[in-house]
Amino acid sequence: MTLIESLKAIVGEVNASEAELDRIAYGNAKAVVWPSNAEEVHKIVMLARRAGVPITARGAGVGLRFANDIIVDMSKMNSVITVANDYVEAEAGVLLDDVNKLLKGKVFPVQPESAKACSIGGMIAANALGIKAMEFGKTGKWVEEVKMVDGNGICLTLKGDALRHVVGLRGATGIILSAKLRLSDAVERTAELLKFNTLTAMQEKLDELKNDADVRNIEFMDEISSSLLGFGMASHLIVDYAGDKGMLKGAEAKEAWDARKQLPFVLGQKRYLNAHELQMPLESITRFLNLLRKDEVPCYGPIGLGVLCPVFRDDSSFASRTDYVYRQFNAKKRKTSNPETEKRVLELKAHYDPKNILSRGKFI
Amino acid sequence: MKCVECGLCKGKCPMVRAVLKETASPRMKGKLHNMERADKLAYFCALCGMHDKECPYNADVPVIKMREKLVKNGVELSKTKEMVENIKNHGSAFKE
Ligand SMILES: Cc1cc2nc3c(=O)[nH]c(=O)nc-3n(C[C@H](O)[C@H](O)[C@H](O)COP(=O)(O)OP(=O)(O)OC[C@H]3O[C@@H](n4cnc5c(N)ncnc54)[C@H](O)[C@@H]3O)c2cc1C
Repeated sequence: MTLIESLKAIVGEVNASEAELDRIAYGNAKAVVWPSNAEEVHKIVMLARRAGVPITARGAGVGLRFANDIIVDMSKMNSVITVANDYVEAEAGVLLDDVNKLLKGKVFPVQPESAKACSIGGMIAANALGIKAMEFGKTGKWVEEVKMVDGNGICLTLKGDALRHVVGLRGATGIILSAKLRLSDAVERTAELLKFNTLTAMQEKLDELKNDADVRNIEFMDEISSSLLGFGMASHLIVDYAGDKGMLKGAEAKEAWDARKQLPFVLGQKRYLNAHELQMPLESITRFLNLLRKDEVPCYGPIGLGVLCPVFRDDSSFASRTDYVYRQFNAKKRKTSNPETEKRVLELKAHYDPKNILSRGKFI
Repeated sequence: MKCVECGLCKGKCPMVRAVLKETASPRMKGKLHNMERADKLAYFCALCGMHDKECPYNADVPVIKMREKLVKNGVELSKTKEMVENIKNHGSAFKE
């Protein structure tokens, strides 16, 4: 039996393909398989293990770019298992947007800009960051339990500290089948939209805000971003407060955040499509922003967390020398693999995926 | 603007919701259009306009133009041919 015949024997004729169009749709994959349940995922992993063929899990494919493997598309595992008062349990292929629609009075607090298309499994595997990241953190903070099939084909339930063995590891230790996610109350915040004529003035304000116990989120938008959103040609901060401190209440506060949510797309329409997510030491921020300003590179991000996202056009000369510049500012690109993560993944692989069939090449 | 292939339109596309495969997505049609490749896949669209509405970049995935090109090159589905014949002969795509 060929590999594709074996895959079809597991999932049925229509749920495995090496047809050209399917391969193109999945980023030049060798083959694509669409499992419908845990049993099928287990059998696919066992098959890949026996054949020594690398496989990569995929959710909605909103973050996954490279393929060249057998892609295991989890879209057909899309059942919401339980919606309780303080948690939701869903299969990996469920879209965040579909979960959002089921919640009443509660929210899943991590809402990435790709919220309307990304899957629960993809968010956990990428440890996705949402719009109010300073307050809510990354997806991993809200994961209570994950069921997965590891590279040995074993079905496991991970909880507590063991969640670190799957969250953010891009499927390198296991294919996520389902997860239990904690919910938060839908709290209303008051907000402030602050305008700055100089970056020094902004830095001073930032230092003050960092010591304000009522501040929940601080989001930065540079001059280019602000002007594209109609706020005028000056840097801005949106500040979220617990309680009544912010001037913008209810719909007005929401309006400021809604404008910010649109920003990546407004920039995209101007061909600024290549965003880097950087973790910056706070003391470097002003100097770094001055440099971007000189090159007319727009920038925004949850500055309260020390995270900034410069966004480049395809033809930007700056984009070709970012690695050099980032090193000077001690800035770390969040989604790039580094020796530390590689070492950790290698250790985890020895246990969960000794044959390195899962997401091969992503880290090791 | 050309499709940037981000995939954010997928969640609400009725074709994707029905078959749960990327191949059915507006993004795939955008990708084929970017590759200047005409394919019957252009017929796999409900023409509901959802991908235009959902696209945060206001990109153009011109499914009707893609179909037009296919028809000009004689690439049609048997069903669409049958519908055209029905319209010519009976005044209705469904012979009614
Ligand atoms: C326009 C746009 C805006 C974005 N905004 C944000 C943002 O604000 N914050 C952010 O963090 N990211 C953002 N992203 C990146 C991306 O949307 C997120 O990483 C998202 O979580 C990916 O979800 P997905 O379901 O599409 O996963 P995919 O793209 O399919 O996969 C992402 C990774 O997870 C792995 N994976 C997927 N499903 C599983 C599974 N079931 N088991 C094991 N591994 C799996 C894949 O192998 C891959 O490595 C954005 C992307 C775009 C295009």
